[in-house]
Amino acid sequence: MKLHPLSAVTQSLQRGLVAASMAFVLTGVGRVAAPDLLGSFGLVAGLFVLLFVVGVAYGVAYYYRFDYTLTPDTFDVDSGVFGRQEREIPYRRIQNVDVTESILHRVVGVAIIEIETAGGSGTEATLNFVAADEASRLQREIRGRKTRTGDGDTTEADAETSERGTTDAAAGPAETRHTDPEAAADRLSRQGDLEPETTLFELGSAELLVLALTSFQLASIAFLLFGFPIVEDLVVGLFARLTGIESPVDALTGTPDLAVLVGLLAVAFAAVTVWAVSSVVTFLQYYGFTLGRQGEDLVYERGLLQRYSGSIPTDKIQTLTIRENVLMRALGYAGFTVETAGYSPGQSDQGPQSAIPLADRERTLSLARELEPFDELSFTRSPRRARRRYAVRYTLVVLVLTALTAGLSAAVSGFELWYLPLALLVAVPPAAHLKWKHRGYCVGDDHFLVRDGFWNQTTRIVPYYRLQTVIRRRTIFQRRLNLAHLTADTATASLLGRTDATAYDIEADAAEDLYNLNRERLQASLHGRQ
Amino acid sequence: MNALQSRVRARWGIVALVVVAILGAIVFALDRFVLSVSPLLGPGLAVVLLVLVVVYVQALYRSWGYRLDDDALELERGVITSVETAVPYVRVQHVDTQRGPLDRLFGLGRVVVYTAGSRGADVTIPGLEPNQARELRNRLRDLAIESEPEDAV
Repeated sequence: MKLHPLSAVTQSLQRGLVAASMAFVLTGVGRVAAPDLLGSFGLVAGLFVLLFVVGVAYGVAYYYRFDYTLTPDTFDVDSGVFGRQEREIPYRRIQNVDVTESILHRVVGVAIIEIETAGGSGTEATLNFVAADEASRLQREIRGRKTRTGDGDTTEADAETSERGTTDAAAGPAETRHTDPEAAADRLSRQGDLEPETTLFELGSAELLVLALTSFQLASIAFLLFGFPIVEDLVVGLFARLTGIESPVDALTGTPDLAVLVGLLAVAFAAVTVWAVSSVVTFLQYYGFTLGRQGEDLVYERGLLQRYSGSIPTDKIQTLTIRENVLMRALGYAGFTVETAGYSPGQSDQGPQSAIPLADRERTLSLARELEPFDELSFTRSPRRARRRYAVRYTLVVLVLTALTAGLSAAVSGFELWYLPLALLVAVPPAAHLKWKHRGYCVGDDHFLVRDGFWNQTTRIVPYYRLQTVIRRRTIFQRRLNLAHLTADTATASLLGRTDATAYDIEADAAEDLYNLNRERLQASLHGRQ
Repeated sequence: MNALQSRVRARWGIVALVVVAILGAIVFALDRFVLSVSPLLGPGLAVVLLVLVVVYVQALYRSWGYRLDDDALELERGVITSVETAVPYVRVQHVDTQRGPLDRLFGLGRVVVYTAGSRGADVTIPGLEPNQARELRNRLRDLAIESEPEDAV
């Protein structure tokens, strides 16, 4: 089948414009090389039109040479204008099927489909774009065929999909496993009324507000960095008009000391702006979030402007992560994400999928237990000497910072506030204590749990049967204190700024025991299913 | 724990030697044209680094060990940070043997074990004899197939 005809139009226009913009580059280079020949306006215009036509032709050819088919066992995509690529994706290898509709897509009624498997270094198939009802049909069909081919076929070559323990964990999805996929399909005739079989969770408006106000999005820093220079003049002008102080920038940064103080104020101002932008972005992203269960898949939908819907196969969940930042904890809320092996390390924008962005803490835990029935959370803390280690580490950071500012004050005359960073020393003991207090691990019957982080506390729940490798590491300093890190690695994409399930600075002996215990439990869970 | 071939020290040493020589040359040139402290600065630094390299390579060699356990391949290595890794055979995706030009010069080879994990997704055992590397690769492959839970008895 072909993509939506409109995609030929937008894609070819896009390619045409990209190609045409090369005209300026080419003539720019040409002007340097041969100034007499390539100076005329006509030439630039001619080249522009020529390249535009070539780009459009390529876009149109791409549309006609792109074809996808649903075969009984595989999803096939044939693409490429000159270099042809024929790709077959077996249904039971598919990890996620995601549908994205931006605001413009929604006006026209189209959507982008992305299909993820565990292998490879990117999205395995992108259909950019198809009609919205075709998108939901594909999502439904793939899900249905996956269930059908999955039944009675348990031999899977890739390690991470094959080991579902026979423990209680399998009971949940097994019950819904034999739901008739056709019956489910009938209810899903349109994207608009995509109604999951059972709705597990709906994000209420109060919860959405709390989520928006307590979230921090990294993207908002980028927004500030690029956005502020644009509105800078406006803001400064407004400030001058309101307060009557003309050209405040020069006066305020008159001496280095003043500049430092103004800088600190600016940082505080930036923090508030980042928070506000984060809130808006989160609000737009998670507006109307619903999570439902359909056969073996969890399906979710979210977004106000850009509508996003995806599926998470419950039998392919690698780890669960309960996330609660300091504000959520204070208000008694928590959320959790699930990680599958589908997304590749580069896809940082996708990230782990939020199964529950935010809910009452108890509710979150009970929903998480439906997916992975883990035991009570009772964490073992690191020994107290780990806390001393953090205090020393933070003190060193403060001292290095002070040394830097001291060096700067020697170099720059009039800069006397070099001792300012020393004020941070006051914060070292509480910081070390909080870091220590929020770290811990818990050995359950079927799961290994680790907890870390004060600002953003994450509790990682790793089922033993998902373990890939077990790693124990000790630095030279840890050996002196008889401490060790223990990592239980699973087949999840390691995204930037995301850490693995690591129990930090635990007793070296305990780490040794856990190292062996994790391996034994993995073997036990593998053989338990015989 | 099995140790690596002792000549892997020479192989690591040569790489370090080249780096030290380049660093020494840079410092020497800096001193010659910019700083002019002493012409011995570059060579002095190189000698100090060389001593450190010898000590480090020896320590790294001693820290390295691998073992085929009942359920997993176990590795141990690291001087500053000592790391122990257990790769269960059932998680092995595929196994490579690799021989770079330097490896061939010293008659060495390495085995790379791939898992689907995010961290330590590939573990390398360097400094093996080519035959040893091939045997280890075949052994790991067989163990990985044997441990496949569906096929195990």
